[in-house]
Amino acid sequence: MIEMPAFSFAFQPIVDVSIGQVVSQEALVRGPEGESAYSVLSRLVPPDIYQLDEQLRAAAIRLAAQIGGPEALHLNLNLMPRSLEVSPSALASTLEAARDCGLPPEAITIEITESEIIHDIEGFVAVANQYRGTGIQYAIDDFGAGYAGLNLLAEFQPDALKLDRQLVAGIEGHGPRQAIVRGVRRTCEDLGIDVIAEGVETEAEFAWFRSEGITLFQGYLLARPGFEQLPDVVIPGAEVLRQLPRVA
Amino acid sequence: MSELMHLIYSSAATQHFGRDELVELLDRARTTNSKLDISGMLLYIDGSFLQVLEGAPDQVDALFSHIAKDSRHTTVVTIIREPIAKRTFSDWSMGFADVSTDDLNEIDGLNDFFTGEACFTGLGAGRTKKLLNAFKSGRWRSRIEGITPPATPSVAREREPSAPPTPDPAPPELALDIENLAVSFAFQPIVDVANQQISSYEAIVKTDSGGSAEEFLSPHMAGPNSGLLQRELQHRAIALAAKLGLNTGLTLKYSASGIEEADQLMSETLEIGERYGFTGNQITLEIDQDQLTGDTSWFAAVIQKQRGLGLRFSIDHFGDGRSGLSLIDAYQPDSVALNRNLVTGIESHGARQAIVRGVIQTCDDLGIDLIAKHVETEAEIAWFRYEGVELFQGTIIAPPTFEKLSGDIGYTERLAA
Repeated sequence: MIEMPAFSFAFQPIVDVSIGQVVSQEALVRGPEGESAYSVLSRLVPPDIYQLDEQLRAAAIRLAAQIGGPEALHLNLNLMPRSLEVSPSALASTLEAARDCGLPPEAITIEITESEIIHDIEGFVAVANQYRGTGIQYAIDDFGAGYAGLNLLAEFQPDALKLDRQLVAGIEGHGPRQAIVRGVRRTCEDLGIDVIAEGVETEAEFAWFRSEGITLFQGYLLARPGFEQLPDVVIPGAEVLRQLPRVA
Repeated sequence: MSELMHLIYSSAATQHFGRDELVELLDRARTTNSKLDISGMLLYIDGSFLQVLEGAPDQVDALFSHIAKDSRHTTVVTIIREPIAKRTFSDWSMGFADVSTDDLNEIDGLNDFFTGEACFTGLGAGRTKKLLNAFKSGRWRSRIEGITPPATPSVAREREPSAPPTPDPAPPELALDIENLAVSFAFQPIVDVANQQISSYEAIVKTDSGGSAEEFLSPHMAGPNSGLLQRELQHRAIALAAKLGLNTGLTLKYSASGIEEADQLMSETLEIGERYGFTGNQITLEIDQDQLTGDTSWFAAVIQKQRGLGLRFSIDHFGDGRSGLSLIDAYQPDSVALNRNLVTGIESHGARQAIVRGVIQTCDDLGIDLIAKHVETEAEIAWFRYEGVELFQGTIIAPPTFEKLSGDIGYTERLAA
């Protein structure tokens, strides 16, 4: 048994700007003093890294529940590539940690990258669907970045997908990216999948997505990740949403 | 926890459903469903149905296969089938909503989702609610009127499983006698159905007796010989097409694996084409991303340059493997050919339909042609035509002909009629 590195979390809100509400907090792993995720994860190799992956999700739930209280809390938690394959209990332990903190499965969204799913699509869909009955939700991260994406949606429909930063950056002046996003949005609308614009940094990007009817956003423009806190949110053209930590 | 799932489908009514017919339908559904412990709702708008079935997977599947056979509706499209945590319509053995007919709302037990809003807004923000919204705004509706997908999908022919391209890890030095390569070509039309024209012929490599050349060529496709092979095959295909008097576009597979020599090879393709009397923009290279090794951005730069010189580009197997959305941005191709799995049986596969509609939207916005390749049934063609797709390739439209350019697109004329 090797010693696991010390870690903590930053939280970055996902905001539905149409109702002016934070709909979830993505937990981002950090070092104990707020160091980068890389500093925590780079020293580990499989299988230890999968063990850490499970511990991270449970710890993120506990920290978030402690800061914000379990009521109205929703968390987006990352799943490391190949976790489900290596450790089929990865989601069970996450749900258990949630229950211990008073969070129902519906309050948890698991974020997976498309490459993770493509690796073994049948295996992934089987495990993911097995837990879907609990109410847990899934989001595909970095959608449109890699090569895959489309075929994936034929086999597995997540609850949400997060457009990759590459598609978002400077979209207001980039026709092909706009066309791709409109196509993705059309597909998602027809399948009942939410589209989240991730990595939104400028008002121009924000305005373009708003004009296309996108309502879910995550990015520096609205809120930077807050280390061990649920940060305030600035919606362009609206009031600041305060995320006051509860006094324990 | 007992297992639950929901299945949501859409369909088109084959007969007029007035108030009496709907009440009768609903009555029967409720009786059956309460026996099977199935809940859900049925939405009828102007000739189109959307139904949500919730319950134990076995029961729902069995009921759905029964429903799908009912002759009172057609074009049954499964949109979603997935496990759920809880029922959305637990109180109802079968809820009902009809948007267009106000007086139905007054009938006892019929719920007006949209006009009254009460039930609808009471739904949790799940996929069901989103899909009902999509249906309400006109998606997933196929009415029997005007252009409509055909009533009975023809049976898909048995076909060879599509062999995934297997990049050879470390190909040994295989002897390739390029001079005496016993290959020739078949040509298959890519047909512009809307204008009833052959827009291009794809050259398909064969053995010199017309058999499949895949087996003896594939070991060389990814190896050090791939550039050499690409050059030879292109030369021969162009020469044969010229000899046959081809005066449409010519589509060639670009199959060299290394992209370092791409610029050189493509320049040669243009040169050879010119030598045989081909003009600019007449030759299209079909890119199979899974066959390429190396830096995509460098390859993209080569493509941009060669397009400027008069080559056209198509992304093959779109939607599969590495041929995804990011390539549209990187290559900005002239056309995109859908992968087989996005075509086969599309008339009854909702998720694939949604994907293809998204691709169509993207391509429309960028002026990229979409080619429905591998179409094999009338139902598939009808679906794509309905969505505005004009370019088709497939055995049912026109099969490949060995060392011959078949001009027979009689089938297409029938389609347009």
